[in-house]
Amino acid sequence: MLLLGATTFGSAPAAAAEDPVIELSLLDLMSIDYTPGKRLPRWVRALDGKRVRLEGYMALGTPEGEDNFELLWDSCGCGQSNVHHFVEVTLSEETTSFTPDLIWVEGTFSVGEIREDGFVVSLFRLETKAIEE
Amino acid sequence: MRAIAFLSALALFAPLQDGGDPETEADRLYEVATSGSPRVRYQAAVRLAGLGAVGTERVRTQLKRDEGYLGLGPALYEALVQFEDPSLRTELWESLGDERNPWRPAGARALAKEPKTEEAARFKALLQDRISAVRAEAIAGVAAGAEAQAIHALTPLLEDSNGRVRRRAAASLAGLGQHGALAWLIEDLRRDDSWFDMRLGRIARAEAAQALSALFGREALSSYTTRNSPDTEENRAAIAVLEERCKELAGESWPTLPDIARAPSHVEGEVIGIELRSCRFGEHLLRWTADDRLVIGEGDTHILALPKGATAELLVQAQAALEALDGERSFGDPGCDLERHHFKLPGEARSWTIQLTKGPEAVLDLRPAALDSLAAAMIESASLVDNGARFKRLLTDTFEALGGPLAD
Repeated sequence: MLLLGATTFGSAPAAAAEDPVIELSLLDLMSIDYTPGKRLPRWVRALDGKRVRLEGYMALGTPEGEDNFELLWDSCGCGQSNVHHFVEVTLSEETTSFTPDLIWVEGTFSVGEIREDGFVVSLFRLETKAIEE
Repeated sequence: MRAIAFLSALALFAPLQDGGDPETEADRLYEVATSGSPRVRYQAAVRLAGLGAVGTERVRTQLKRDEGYLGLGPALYEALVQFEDPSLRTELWESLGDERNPWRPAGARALAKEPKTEEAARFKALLQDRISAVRAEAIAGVAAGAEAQAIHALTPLLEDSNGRVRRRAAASLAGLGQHGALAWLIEDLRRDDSWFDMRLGRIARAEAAQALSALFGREALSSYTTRNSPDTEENRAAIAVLEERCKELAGESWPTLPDIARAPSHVEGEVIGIELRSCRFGEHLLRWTADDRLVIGEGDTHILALPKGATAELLVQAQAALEALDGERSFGDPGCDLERHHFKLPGEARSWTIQLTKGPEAVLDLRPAALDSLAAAMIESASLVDNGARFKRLLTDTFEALGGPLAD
């Protein structure tokens, strides 16, 4: 069962290319006091649909040739067992090829719980054309 | 919108999905918590705890097996404190003394969220831990104890080798009325240093800003933003205002910072780096510069002059290793044991990383042979520090714990 959460309905409308880009830190997202079902802070909700730029690392174990991956703030992802500790990145013009280097992604950010079988499986998402290395 | 929020809450808290058998539900949640998607394991663990005695019994069944808590996986391990049975908290404390435990930072974090008065001495002991993440997590547990003892225990951590430990100690001390500790957080707002591709300065700024926001409210930071350089006009002005406020609070106790706490300058010419993070042996960060300096740790306070040509020799080995690896740059399976080699070769604009990762189990030949001789050369080079023999042993043990045995 897929159940969309309280904060938004699926993908946010694509931000226009001329929209200002918000430089966002994963550390800021991770700092929120999050529990599933709880209303997100106003500044986080305000990011929905905005054009955002993030830096981070591909999650270890990212398979080759996928159109999405998890972006983490550190290279090992140690101790990051909560759903607000990563951003799910979807690529529209390339597929994944794992790199251990720091990467950047820029695109439309969306915020909101997506549930499967009652569990929150995604909270932050970003749609982008490609990865910048 | 409210209706959807209500439905979401129902989905979250609906305890049983199988028609009402708590034991079956406990089995299902246990499976998800231990071997489901990493995204939902912690959520399942919390729900298992919410089942009460049935959930506790399911965990106890695992704890009686030979592998004990190690069979729980990191998410359920961290959630042990959420179960009603206080003996599981005791189990968690005992596991922190286990050399095999790969999740000690998570354990310390869980315990420190709701510290007990009688645990003060145990939290204090963790402040000496070899793993910085354990020290950082234990700070909250100590800060929750008796005020005078907490101040006495936390003050030495203001000179810890790890920046996050210093920041957390400073934030806790400031919260205990030691306003001089705010100087550490103000200084971290000015950091803009990096360690190869790790932007340690930006991390420090973000964490210091979060700590100051928690103490004074977000408006106290005014126009300061961690996204921009600390040297922008807006950031400098915001720091100046906040620093003045902190100095007023601290009065005569406003300190002169020790070197370790000062914003590090940019280390010019870093060409080779090794980042070792072992769940058993702690962390080591070493950088070699083109002009034959060895920089130890995160900042710029521990720098050793090497014999002329020492870095060039390592570079030759690094280039040979890169050629032998033929573009392959990641080895092993996901885990918290990490060995990352960083190279910024002559003429290249950016650095490259080769990484080895593994879980708690030993992997004898994880490190490719091409990196073995480079690792051995790094150890020899670094053993020129004071107490070189001891440092050499420590580095050797850490390298071998991560990537497997090195050739004699």
